[in-house]
Amino acid sequence: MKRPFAPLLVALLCGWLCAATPFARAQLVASAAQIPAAAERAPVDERAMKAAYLYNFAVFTQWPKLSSTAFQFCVLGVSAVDEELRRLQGRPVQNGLPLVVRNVVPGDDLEPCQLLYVDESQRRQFAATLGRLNGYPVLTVTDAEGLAEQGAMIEVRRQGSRLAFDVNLPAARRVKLDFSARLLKLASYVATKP
Amino acid sequence: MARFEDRPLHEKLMRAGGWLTSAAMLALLLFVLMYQLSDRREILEDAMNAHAKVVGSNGAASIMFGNESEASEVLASLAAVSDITWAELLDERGQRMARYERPGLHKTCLLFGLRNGCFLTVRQPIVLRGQIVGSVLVEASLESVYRGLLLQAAFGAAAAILVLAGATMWARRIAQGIVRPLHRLVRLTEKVSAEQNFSLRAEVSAQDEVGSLARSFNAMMEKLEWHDARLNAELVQRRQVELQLNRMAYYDNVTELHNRHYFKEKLEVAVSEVVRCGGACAVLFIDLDDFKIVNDTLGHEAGDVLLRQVAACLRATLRSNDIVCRIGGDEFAVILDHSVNERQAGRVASNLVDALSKPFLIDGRQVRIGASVGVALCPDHATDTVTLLRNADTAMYHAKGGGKNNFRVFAPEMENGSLKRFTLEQALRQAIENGQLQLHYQPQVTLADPPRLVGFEALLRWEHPELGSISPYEFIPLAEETGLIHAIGDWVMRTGFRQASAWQTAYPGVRLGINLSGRQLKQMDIVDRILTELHSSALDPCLVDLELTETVLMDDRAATAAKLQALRQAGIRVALDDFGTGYSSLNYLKLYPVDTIKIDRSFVANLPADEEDATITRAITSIAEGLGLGLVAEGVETQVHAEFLRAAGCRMAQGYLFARPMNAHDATDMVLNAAKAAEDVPVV
Repeated sequence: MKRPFAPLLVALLCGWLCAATPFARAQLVASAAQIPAAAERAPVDERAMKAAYLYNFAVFTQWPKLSSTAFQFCVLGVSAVDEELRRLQGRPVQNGLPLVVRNVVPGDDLEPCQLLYVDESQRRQFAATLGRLNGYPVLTVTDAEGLAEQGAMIEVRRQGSRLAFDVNLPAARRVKLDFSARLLKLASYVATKP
Repeated sequence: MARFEDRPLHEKLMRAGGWLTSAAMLALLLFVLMYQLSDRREILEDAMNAHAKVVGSNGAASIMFGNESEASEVLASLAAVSDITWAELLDERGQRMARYERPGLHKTCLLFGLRNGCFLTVRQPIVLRGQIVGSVLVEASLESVYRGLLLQAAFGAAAAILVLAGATMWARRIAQGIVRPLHRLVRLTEKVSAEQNFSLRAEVSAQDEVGSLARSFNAMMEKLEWHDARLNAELVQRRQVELQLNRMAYYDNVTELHNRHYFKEKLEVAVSEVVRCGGACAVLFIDLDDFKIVNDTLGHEAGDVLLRQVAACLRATLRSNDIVCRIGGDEFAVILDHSVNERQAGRVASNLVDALSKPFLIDGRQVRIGASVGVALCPDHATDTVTLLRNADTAMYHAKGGGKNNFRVFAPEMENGSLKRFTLEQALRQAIENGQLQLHYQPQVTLADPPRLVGFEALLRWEHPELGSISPYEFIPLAEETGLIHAIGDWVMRTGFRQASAWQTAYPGVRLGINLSGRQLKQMDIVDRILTELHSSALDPCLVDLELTETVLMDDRAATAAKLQALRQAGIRVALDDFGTGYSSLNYLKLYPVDTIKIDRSFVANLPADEEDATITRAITSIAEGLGLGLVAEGVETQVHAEFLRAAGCRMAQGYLFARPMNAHDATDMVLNAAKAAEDVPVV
């Protein structure tokens, strides 16, 4: 019975099986596990946060129809977040459409806009502008307190060091805009009745 | 513990089967476990990825909006999944937004010292509208995987043990199936060598190697059996041949006594026993006195019958443990090897002589032979076989010389004669070849005054260069015994006849007397021989006197008379020599056709003083005259003898008074002188 290669074969087989399967895979994800979780989020500039919120709203909103060229973020007049918004310009929003920032005045054609931001400073222009929208599916966002009640779809407000937002769902539904449930879940208040 | 190599074959096979099965089962088990481990890990990983995706999708908004409490809430939904030890939501920059941790559990599991062996971590990016907005990290414990695996391993091991047990039983049956015929074969070979039985055969159970081994074993056995049978047959044959050879070597086939060879071996044994252990043994040499006569006259068949009767007689006379052998034509020997002394040996010899002197009946005829026995004893006379035999032989010859039909015990002084006899025999053989024999001639003359030469008696002389002149009385018996007498007799006749023939021219009518021995006369063709010699020498048969002694005429009278008659018819005259010394001389005169009688010298020597001799001489003379026979007186030495004989009426004589025997040359001179004297004055 001289078969030294038989136990050798078994050993080789075991070695291969041990080496091949689970441990190697474990190695791949190990690096991810090693990343230290950030202990504290850095304080963020409010304007930048507002710009990010605008972008996020666009992401979580469903438009009945999108433009084929760009995703226009229209800013009524001049706002404090213009600079921050422009930084986001070019970023894809939905369907790979790049974000484009456009400053408009109430007399402009607002139909190509997907989103219209009305700054606190433009509060007076809001009513007129709303009339000009003429039922276009344009998401109206404001940071002027009380405008949601007047027809703005999302109203952002400061709450401590953070930002909160309220949603006027009927206003959006009227122009066939829909929000993601996850967005609605994050809203401080969602008005459901006009 | 014996080495593996020395273990029984079935155990080897079983062990090999066991090891192979174990190894195979172990490998299979390991393979299945490894596969299961990898499979279960993969399933778990897939599940974790799915959970991470769901959580990521659910938590995407909270990340984007930086809502940590909402994020924690989303993560908390993972509590329903028991394998998950912890999970984290990270924003797009990799900053942790929220962490969920299952309390208490799974902390201690360390396999192979590696966390990786115990835990599985999954990172899933959160993609929203094609944008990566953050990621989810989920770590799951492999405990449940291992638990399941352990259960499977337990089941697997149990199954493996069952399989191993089954395989071992199977291997045992197979091994026994292989080994059993081999065992049978081994037992068979042992049986074959123990019983020497080559007819045994192995059972051929299968067509495999063991089967062919059994077949070739059977073929080998067949050959062995055949060879054995042949060997046995050969052995039997050889034994028979050996027995036969033994018989031939040790037995005499005429008498069925042991032979000379056997005798010598037995004598060696007996003598060496005496030399080694003491005691004594005796050798008796027996020579049948007149066996040769029986053989010559009655033929060899009768001789053989006689020998058988002698053998039976010897056996009857001796004790059963005495060894009796036939060692020559008419010679027998006996070994007495039981501490005999001289007296006992002598008594045995005497008994033998008595027994053999009684007549034997052959072809309805009574035959008397008689025997001479010589006795020699060991250690008294010799302690070696050669000397002992020679001594017994010597003693036997002395017995024969002492008048036959008796025995002699060896005595040291006998040895000289024996030696002489032996050398004489050798010398006599050479004498014929070397021309040492001579014929002397003694004149026979008329008892007239002056005496006239009538003829010569041819007398044989042997002049040996070393031994000197040897008397015919000494060598003629020897020549008769050895058979040399025929050659000598022929030579005598040839020489004598030629000489006489030569003399005829000078002195026509000169006669020649030739002596004929008993053996010569017994020859069947003696008449032809004599006549042939006469013819070749051109001598007239009427000038020849055949001189015969009375003893020559004693045996087989009818045949002798017929021969003498035939010779006489050819013209040869028959003279009766030494007349008056025999037992029944007168009877012979009646029985045989005799022409002349010769008065023995013993009667003449004392004439005329001895009255008896004178009376006998006168009686013989008157018988010869009465029967008309010629008369010759022998040994006439003095003038007184001559005158007395002439007065008694004897006409012829021979003796020193007239002439001594002389050689051929002198005899020729005498013939020439006689011839001259016949012309004028007779001179002696």
